[in-house]
Amino acid sequence: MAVTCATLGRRRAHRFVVSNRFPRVRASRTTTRRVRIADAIARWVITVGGLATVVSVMGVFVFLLAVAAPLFRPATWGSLEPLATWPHGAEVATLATDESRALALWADTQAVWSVAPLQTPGMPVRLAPLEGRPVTVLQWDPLAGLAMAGFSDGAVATLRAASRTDWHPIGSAPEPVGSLAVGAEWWDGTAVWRRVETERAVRISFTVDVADLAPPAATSPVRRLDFVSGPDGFVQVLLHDDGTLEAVRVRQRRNMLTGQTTLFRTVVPIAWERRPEAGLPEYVGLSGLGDTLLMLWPDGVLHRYDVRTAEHAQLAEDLDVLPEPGCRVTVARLLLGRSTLLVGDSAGRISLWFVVPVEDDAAGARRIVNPRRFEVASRSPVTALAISHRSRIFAAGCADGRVAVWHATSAKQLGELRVPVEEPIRVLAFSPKEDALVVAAGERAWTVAMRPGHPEVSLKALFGPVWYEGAPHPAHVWQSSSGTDDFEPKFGLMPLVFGTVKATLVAMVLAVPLALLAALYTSEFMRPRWKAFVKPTIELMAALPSVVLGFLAALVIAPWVASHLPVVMASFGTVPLALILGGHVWSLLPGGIRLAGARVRPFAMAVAAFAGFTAAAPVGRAAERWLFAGDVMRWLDGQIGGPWGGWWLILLPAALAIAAVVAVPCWDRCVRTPRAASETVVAVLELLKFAAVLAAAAGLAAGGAALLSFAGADPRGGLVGTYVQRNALVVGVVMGFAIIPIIYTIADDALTAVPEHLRSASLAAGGTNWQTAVRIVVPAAAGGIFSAVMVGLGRAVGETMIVLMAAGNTPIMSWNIFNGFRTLSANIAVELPEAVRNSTHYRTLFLASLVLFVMTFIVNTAAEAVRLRVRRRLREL
Amino acid sequence: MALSELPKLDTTLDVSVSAAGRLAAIAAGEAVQTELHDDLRRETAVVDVRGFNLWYGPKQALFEIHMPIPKGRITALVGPSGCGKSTLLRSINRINDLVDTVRTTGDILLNGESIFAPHVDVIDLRKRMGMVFQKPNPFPMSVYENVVYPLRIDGVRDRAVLDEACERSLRGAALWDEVKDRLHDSAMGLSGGQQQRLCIARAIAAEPEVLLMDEPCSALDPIATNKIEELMEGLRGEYTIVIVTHNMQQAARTSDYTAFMYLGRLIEYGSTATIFQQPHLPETLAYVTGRFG
Repeated sequence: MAVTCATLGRRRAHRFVVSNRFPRVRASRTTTRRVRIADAIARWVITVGGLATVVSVMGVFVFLLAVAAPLFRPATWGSLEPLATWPHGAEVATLATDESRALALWADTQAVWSVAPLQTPGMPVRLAPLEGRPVTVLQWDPLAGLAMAGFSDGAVATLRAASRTDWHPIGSAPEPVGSLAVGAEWWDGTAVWRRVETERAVRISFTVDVADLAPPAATSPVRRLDFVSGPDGFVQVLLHDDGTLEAVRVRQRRNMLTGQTTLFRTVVPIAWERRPEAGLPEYVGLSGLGDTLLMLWPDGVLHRYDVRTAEHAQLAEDLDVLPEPGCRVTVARLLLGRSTLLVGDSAGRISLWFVVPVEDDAAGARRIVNPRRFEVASRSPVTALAISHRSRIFAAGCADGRVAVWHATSAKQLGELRVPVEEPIRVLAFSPKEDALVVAAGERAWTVAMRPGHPEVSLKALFGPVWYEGAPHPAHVWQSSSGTDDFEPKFGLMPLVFGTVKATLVAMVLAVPLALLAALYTSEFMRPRWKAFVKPTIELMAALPSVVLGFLAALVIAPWVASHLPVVMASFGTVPLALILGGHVWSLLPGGIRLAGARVRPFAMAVAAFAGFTAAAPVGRAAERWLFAGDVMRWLDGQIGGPWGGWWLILLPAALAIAAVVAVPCWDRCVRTPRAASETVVAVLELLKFAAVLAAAAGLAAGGAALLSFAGADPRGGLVGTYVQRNALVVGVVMGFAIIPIIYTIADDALTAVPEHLRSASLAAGGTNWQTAVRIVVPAAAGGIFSAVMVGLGRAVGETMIVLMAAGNTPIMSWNIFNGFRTLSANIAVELPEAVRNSTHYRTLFLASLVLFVMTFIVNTAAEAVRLRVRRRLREL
Repeated sequence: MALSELPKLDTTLDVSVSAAGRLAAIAAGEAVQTELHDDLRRETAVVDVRGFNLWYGPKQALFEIHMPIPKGRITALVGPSGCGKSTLLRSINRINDLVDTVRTTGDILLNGESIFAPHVDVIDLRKRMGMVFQKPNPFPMSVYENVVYPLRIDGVRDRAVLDEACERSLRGAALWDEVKDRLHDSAMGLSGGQQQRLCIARAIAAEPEVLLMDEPCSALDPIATNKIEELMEGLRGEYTIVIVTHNMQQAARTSDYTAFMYLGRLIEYGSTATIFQQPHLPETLAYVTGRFG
């Protein structure tokens, strides 16, 4: 043992000599294998974790982009497939296909229908339900399955013309069906059989039968006919050869016991202004719910009659729809929903017309406007128009065999095709599912498969104002769904972006001053022992789930604020005022008491704040009486009172700021504090100064308010307006509650991180705590404070539950803080569950989340960039 | 070693032994009487520390300090690390108040008035003293704004007054020629020595009665140290300066009076020449000759 020690000792000595600078304690110091492996693993895990974070954020971005991107993909088109059969020489009036695209259906002007297989060869079958009667006009609405024919004796027939689909087991189907492959079709001479499964087939047939034959009201032949069908009947308009114009209202009543349908018919003659020089109008259309009658002549004259009461029909408007002389109207049609008239002319243009209410007209006057015009590239005369039964897509066929397809609202062109013959397009039709277009030109016809994509969406339609049908002017609108089938979804994202910005602004205006001042107080003034209790408490506020806050906001705070609005608004003024006054009173106290009471100062502040809250009630009531004619709700609604009171209140904060900047130096120059003044005198002077600033601000605001009122400006309709219970103010207060902890914590950390030696230097130079805080600490921590505000902003932008529950979710663009809004995030939360997967709505919601992602990304990146810059600056200190 | 020096060696050993004994006694908590030299009694004290004790929480850091600081002189506080030099210095302008756990007894008089009296506003007290810290701590703003900061917080807005104070202080801190062309550049761009002189300029801008310097050269290189020392030479007579230093040569070179502290007690206090050449106490001699500390 002793030997070993001696040897060791010698070895140690030896080593000491060799490595004479670093005496080694142990014989060999090697990093063990385990440590190396742990080190390698740690490095690997950290690398993978870091990369995975970046990749997953990018992944979210890419996923959102991948879902949203198809919105901007153009429509896809198949090739032109010639139709197997086509009636040579017939005068085709209307062309259609059935739902499953098995049948081609057409009706000629004599009300003879032809049915032919669309996919398989086969001779067409003729259906002539009115055989023998001289038909003068036929109007067929394939979507409604209704057709109406007018006769030369003035009578009108109503026909049901609809396709039907019957399911048959293979056993009961005709024999050839059994040998069909699944999906194949067979034409049995009258109907198409399609084997949809191995054991089942469908028979797709088309039937026409006369539902009603009305006796003639006038004896002259019917020349023009249009109808609008509704749930309990329809409205017809008939124009006879001799110029008689009749509106016919037909009400259907079904006997519940017998199942028989009885029609009640009311015929009202309409007096209309004839144009002897131009003859009968080429086009007569009933639009909307049958309340507007449009008459269009080839020379471009459009007469609009208001037929809300047919007895008192009157010519409401007389205008020229052609933009230049020398061309003629060639074809006209009403778009889906029967509100928009498409007028094609001989110069290859299609113009859009719809009726809108006249703005600011109490009497409900309306006018017809032309929001858009489309042009066929070749400027060849338009010979045929087809409308989709699903959306606002229409197709225009031209004399040179071109067909152009547009979306009427977004004005996006879906495509342009050309039939292989140089002949005018005679007739065009979309399939009911909008997946094919049937084109007939000359003696031939083609079908072309199509996928329109998302034609209603374009960058312009998403972010720019769009002139929607029936709207008085272009506007940003988000309205994704409605109760009616012919409704057009409106995907304007701006109201949502606006709502997000409004929510963020209001929340920030309320939260930032409070959070930053709190941070300044705890980091610079509060005793560490108190701070150790206060800071975690504020941070605990962040742990409150925002859904709880939203629920409180919507069900507790919003109703309470609605019933105590003057008090709430007054407390925004009285609480800070009470605190400042408390400060003045404190400095009026004798020095000894003040120094001794330093410990209870926080309690004194709490008392002052409580006094402010207590004062809010009488102050609020008084303000309501003096400024808002005694009832702030009715004042906001514009029912009572003048604008002065509102302006005064709105201008007051700005006036305070101006007074503080201008009046304080003036006061300092005029009122010299005596050098030997006692503390009490100084305190009294300061109090007087404060009162003077308040008075100056009040006067300034009063003057400004009087000026603005005199100029005729009214804040109602701008920053304030009709009070809605769930509004921006409530959201601002509650969301402020949610973001205050974040801003507070980061700002407090930034302020605390300012090196102590700067504080000591300022204090040693004789600076007060406040001077040190404002002149040294805040500038040094400016970056961190900015970063805190930006992180708060990022949270406010993305906040969902509070705005969802308390903002009313009205996607309107109004700055009125007493009105609601809808944010991007709340919109996604509300609508995504009901959006059909991969529909335009669904993808637009993903686009909205992409916009949100980009907004928060920009805010957070800016915050991080500033934070890094400031950290670099602080390191130099 | 020459044989003739042997008796001297003997003395040295003697001193060392007795010094070691006394220091051990102090460490054991034995009360000591400050060896206050007579020449101090002839001076007028601007700051007078009387029976001052200070605790950081339960730990006592200063014990019964009696120390008059003569007007218009440079007084150096020396002693080994942790002996309470800085604490004493920071008590004079009550910047120690910022530490939550500090408790004091005894008194410090400034021109005969207690700085701890209840009616004394600590802010006003600090306005009468300038302080220079161990590490240069200019504010992150321009050179000009750094210098005039004490005037700014006193509400001086007159440009002419500020300009005059800025130039005077910078000249006083021997920095004027180096920065006069970049007064409005950031002070963070100056070198460490320049920054420290800037801090001195800031400390004297408001013409304080006392200038407290807490190891002002410990973070500086020898050239910068030299400049600061020259600067103090220039300030001598104008200001009452109290300087804490670890550097014996610096204390010997710059100060008029030197106080030696050990473990929170003021051991010996007298004119610098006496303290460094013929201190009355063996432990002082041991310390100033570098035998411990």
